[in-house]
Amino acid sequence: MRALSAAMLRELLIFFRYPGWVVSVVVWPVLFPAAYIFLARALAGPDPRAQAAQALGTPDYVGYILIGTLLWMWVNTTLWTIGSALRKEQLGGTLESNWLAPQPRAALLFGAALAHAVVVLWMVAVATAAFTLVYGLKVRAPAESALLFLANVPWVYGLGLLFASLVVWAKEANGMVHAVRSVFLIFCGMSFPVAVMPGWMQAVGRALPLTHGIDALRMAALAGAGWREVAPELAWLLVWGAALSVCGFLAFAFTDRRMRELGTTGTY
Amino acid sequence: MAMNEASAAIVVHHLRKDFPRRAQGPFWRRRGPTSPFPAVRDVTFEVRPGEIFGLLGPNGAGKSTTIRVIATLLLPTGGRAYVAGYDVVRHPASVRRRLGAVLTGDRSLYWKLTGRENLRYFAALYDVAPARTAGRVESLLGEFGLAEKADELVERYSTGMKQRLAIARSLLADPPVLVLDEPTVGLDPQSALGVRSLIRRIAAEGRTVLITTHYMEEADELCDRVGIIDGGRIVALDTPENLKRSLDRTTVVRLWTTGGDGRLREGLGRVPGVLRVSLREAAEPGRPSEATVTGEGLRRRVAELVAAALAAGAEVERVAIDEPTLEDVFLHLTGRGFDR
Ligand SMILES: Nc1ncnc2c1ncn2[C@@H]1O[C@H](COP(=O)(O)OP(=O)(O)O)[C@@H](O)[C@H]1O
Ligand SMILES: [Mg+2]
Repeated sequence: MRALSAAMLRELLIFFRYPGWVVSVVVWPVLFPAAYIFLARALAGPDPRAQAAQALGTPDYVGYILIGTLLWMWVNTTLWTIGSALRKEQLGGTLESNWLAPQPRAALLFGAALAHAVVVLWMVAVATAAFTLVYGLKVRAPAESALLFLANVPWVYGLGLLFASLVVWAKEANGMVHAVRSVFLIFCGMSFPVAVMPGWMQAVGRALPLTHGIDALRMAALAGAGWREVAPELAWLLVWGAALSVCGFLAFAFTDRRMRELGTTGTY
Repeated sequence: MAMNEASAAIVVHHLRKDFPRRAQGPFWRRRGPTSPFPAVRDVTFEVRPGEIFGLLGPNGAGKSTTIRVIATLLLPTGGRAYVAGYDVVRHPASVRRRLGAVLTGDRSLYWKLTGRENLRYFAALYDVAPARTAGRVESLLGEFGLAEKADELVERYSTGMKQRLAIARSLLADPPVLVLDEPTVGLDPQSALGVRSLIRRIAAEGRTVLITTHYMEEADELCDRVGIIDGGRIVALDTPENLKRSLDRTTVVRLWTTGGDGRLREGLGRVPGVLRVSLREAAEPGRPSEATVTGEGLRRRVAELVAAALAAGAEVERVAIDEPTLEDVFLHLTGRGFDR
């Protein structure tokens, strides 16, 4: 536990030593959705809200886009930061000094993930506040929305853990992160309804957890849906969460052992 | 079971470590499995409590591989290793709790944290009680001459300071055993001197220290006992004095020559009593190259050695008759010099 919180504190300290990152976490979530919101306005004709109600199932097209982009950005930053966490420490040389300590090695990675979660929560808070002020967002079922948001934690960080191990073997994160985040960007209905895609793409999209995370949050925050209505989505998220966490953990255990066989903890 | 793994601080018993050979080239052209590369073939030694033990060998001898197995970062292919009686493969957590290690020197620290933050972080990882952490961190900072710069980011430290901080980090949990991989490599002479006297002080506190080095003088001056390692094998193990004494009846004659042809080595080798000749080429053209001749009774054969050099077309700049150094011991055992 102490190792976990120490690792988290360490990551936060380092995070705040890079002003550029700090600023981008505040600015990016507010700016990124604007591209889609303006496109929606341009295409929707004289009454965007009426058009949205027809096409998206809710008049609140702004909220619709904000929820999609926020969740996607979360996945995106997780892939970048947690995904490259092990590799970064391997390159920097601190992986060995951490692993020399009498601590479960996964705890150190979880600590970094926790630090990331803290930053993300902050990002969500800033974004929600900004969206409310700038775009007039109204969240209808706040408690349900918050819990649904958190229901994404297992699969998002499970995926991050899995990525952390894969990146160690692939030696660089860029290619893999770009591939995976593009899949999520296109297939998961971040800024449009999944139903507008061709059939096979819809099938892919429906299988992915992000699609359900976005859907569930839209239902709760925009349409005020209760637990019963979002239950299937929630179940899907948790199943993915369990599966990805197990995969992530196994991949990490395998990587740990393999690195000790190959002697790659300190080399690159 | 091996020797007295309970009473010795570190025991390494017939250690072997094979690495798969790295395939080169684009992945679609890499072939199937090739024969593994033995970085450590057969290493056996034992470090007694409280001593400074040196593993001395040239680059690629297998020093770092050995020390990484001891530090639980590498799984051995064969053999055993124990730290304070604990098997490094079966009880790695117990080993890590008793072992301080500096393997990558300055790279083992977070450069974006200050010295104090680094120590506090690692203190938590080493389960130093929260109430004791501040005191321990401050006393180490003071002891290692880092108190003034404690609140500066490590990236602004000199290499010598980073190395001292790395050693301080390894001592946070007050471990009885310390392993250091080439602790003075890359340091200027002044900082290297500082680090060496630190290591002496650490050992004087009753800790056991294992260092690796490819500096002969360092091993000679610092270590109570030295294991000479070459090609993944221990080729000699004793106190520096005994190692040098093993060449007692041997004399070392050095000749510095310029010019000459390829027959120098051959000519010197034909002088009676000569056991080995090794040549070190001049660092820059025009400077003399150095021939080290070891053998028995060579004091009486100096004239013949000079004659042999002249016969090979060389001009003799200087001749010296020396006490054997550890380098000569290495030369004698392996027939090769240390490439520096
Ligand atoms: N992780 C590794 N994978 C493959 N070969 C390695 C690895 N680590 C070391 N080697 C090889 O093993 C040999 C011994 O290396 P090392 O133990 O680092 O030597 P030293 O520390 O004495 O210079 C070298 O030839 C080196 O190239
Ligand atoms: Mg080495």
